[in-house]
Amino acid sequence: MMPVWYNCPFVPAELISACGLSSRRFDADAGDFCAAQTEGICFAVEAFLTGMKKQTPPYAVIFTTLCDQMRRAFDLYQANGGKNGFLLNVPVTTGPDAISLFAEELRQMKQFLCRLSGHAARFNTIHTDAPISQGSKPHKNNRAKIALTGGPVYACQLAALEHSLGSRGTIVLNATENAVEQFRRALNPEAMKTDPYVELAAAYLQTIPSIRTRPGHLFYQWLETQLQTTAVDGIILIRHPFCDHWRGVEHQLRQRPLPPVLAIEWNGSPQAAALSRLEAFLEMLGQ
Amino acid sequence: MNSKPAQLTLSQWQERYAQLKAAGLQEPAYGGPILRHADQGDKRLGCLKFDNSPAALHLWNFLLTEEDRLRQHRTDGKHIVGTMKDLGTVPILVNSFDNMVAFYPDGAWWTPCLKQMHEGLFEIAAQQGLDESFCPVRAMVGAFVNGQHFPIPDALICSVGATCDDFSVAAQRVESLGHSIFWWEMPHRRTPSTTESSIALPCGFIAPQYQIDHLHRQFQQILQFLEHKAGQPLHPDDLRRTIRKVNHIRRMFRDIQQLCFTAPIAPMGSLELLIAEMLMIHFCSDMAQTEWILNVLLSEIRTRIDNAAGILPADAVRIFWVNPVADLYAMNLLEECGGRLCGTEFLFAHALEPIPDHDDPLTALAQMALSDPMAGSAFDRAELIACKIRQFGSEAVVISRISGASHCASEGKIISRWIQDHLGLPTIEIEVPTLSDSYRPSLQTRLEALIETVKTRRKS
Repeated sequence: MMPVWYNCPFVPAELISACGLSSRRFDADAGDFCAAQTEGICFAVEAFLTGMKKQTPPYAVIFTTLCDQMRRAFDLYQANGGKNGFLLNVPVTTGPDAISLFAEELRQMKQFLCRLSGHAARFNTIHTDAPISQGSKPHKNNRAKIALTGGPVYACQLAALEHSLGSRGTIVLNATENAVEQFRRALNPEAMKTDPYVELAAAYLQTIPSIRTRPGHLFYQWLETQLQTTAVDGIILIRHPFCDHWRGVEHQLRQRPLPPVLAIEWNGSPQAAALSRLEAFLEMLGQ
Repeated sequence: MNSKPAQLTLSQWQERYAQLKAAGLQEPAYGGPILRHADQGDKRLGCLKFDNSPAALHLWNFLLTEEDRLRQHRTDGKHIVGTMKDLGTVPILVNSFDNMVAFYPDGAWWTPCLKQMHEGLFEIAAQQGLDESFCPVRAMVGAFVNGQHFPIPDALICSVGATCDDFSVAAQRVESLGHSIFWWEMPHRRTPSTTESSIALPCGFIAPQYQIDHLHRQFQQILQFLEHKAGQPLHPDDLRRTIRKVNHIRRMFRDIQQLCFTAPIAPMGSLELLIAEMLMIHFCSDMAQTEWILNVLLSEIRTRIDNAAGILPADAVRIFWVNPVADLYAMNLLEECGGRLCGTEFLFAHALEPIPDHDDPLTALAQMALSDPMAGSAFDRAELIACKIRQFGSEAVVISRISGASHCASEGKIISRWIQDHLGLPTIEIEVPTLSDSYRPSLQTRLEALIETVKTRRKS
């Protein structure tokens, strides 16, 4: 099966599978980040493009419009001769019109995928259960409970962060961009039979939290609700260089009645300055 | 009195103004010497060179008195509606109500330039979490906080979706400060597949029909929102009438561009052409005066062309300019380096195109909105630019990056490569900050190199 790469939580992986293709969520390695050095281009975006170049054809890539930088990444992919690319328009409002628009976009995506696979989509193969929650890690006494938010945090970054936290902190809530689909609601089996595109659109658009959603307070409300059920001592916001959205969030997080916030601009492996800030943050949390 | 076309400094304009007044110059209510704006804080004017025509005087005075005009509209009982980001379409709807007027708070991005950064808007924006990593539109946040550069609008309407990240974040910050915003969804314009229903748009783009249907629904909601704010319904004929007026103004401006960009000798300076183009997005809060000024400008331009007169040497290199400049001085610099403006794509080409004559005016507006060059791919935009280059006979392209803008890092490269591959024109990318004085040597060197390249190509 041809792999279909994507890196956005709003891409329904089940639709890829239903079209007979293999969905692959991108996970950057440190090398991808090291290659990301273009002034003005978000490192997460550039790491994605770099990671795609390393794949062995044939493969397909789904980009989304969730941020302007990723929207332009699709242009860059095409400009560099990339094949089998599809740009999925993800609305940032969540009303009925946005659902209709997103449903139509998903229909277009399905047609793109079916052209690649050569056979029709089989919606009856889609599991309607809610995504498996990553859940809270068992909390060990005396460790600071940390909520993680921010741009995509890849496995190599997460491992480095957990290593740096060591025995002084535990991540109890991961709400970074490549982990938020775990919060999506289950699909309604009856609604899937009626119109799978509309049901997928509604489930993804209305229940996956995103800082891009407008009005913007919806994200903060969601975060505050999460923090009412998961007690945390501090919030770590990870953002990539040249990402405007998360840079804009930092100030607003600090304005809200939330636990202390540490913002780290983290490119691949932890930088000395970021580690020092993390040390100070843990110290401030009493660790 | 000598009326030979020329460019004057601010102090030279004082003398010219006295001469014109002595000769019986009639001015609109917002008239007066340009110098007074500099005295009132628009210090950047002291670094610029202006066209010496009465038409240019009216143009500058009209532009620089918008804040007064907005306050007068409020005093007159009109609702002030801040339309944000879509650049050109929602104001048409707003201005169809007799008790509403539209303006773009986005325009505050020029305020730090005009005030030579003495007004502190960037500092306020930074205090609100928007530092220099954001494009100059962050000044809008500062203007909402201190309320000193435009009256706080009675309502705000902002497009989101296929827009730049900087603006989306800045607008969200404005909302978080307590200014309620009506958000509407702008889809990314996708190239339709061969099997789906599609529609040709005014700027030459093609889009799927369902995106127009979506925007039609969005405009219906915007209309309902406005009717509620206005306290009265809008008859479709009122909207049709406004569209006809807008089309008249847009056609007049297209004539100005066509004449100026193709004349053997540049009849009008780049700076005035930039300012005139800026009027097109919301008519500087007064459609009737915009029409009057463009008429006066057009008349001056025609006279100069008829007399084979202009403000620049005949061999000035014909430059197509991509993206608006944060520092107005860049337009003067282009001319000082031997160039002239021959084509522009300032991110709102859709605001210059006549609106389609459609039975349903909201469908016509939906088509205009989806023609936004920023809503589609960089390749779409490159094709649009190429089409204009062919129309105006531009000899080289300057892609002017906007400091901190999310789209510029990737888009400029794609457009540049596309133009070179398809048209073979020399192209440079420069970055123009809000105040470019300290970058002047580097900007000048790059512009001069481009102009020399074109002149060498002419010889061969």
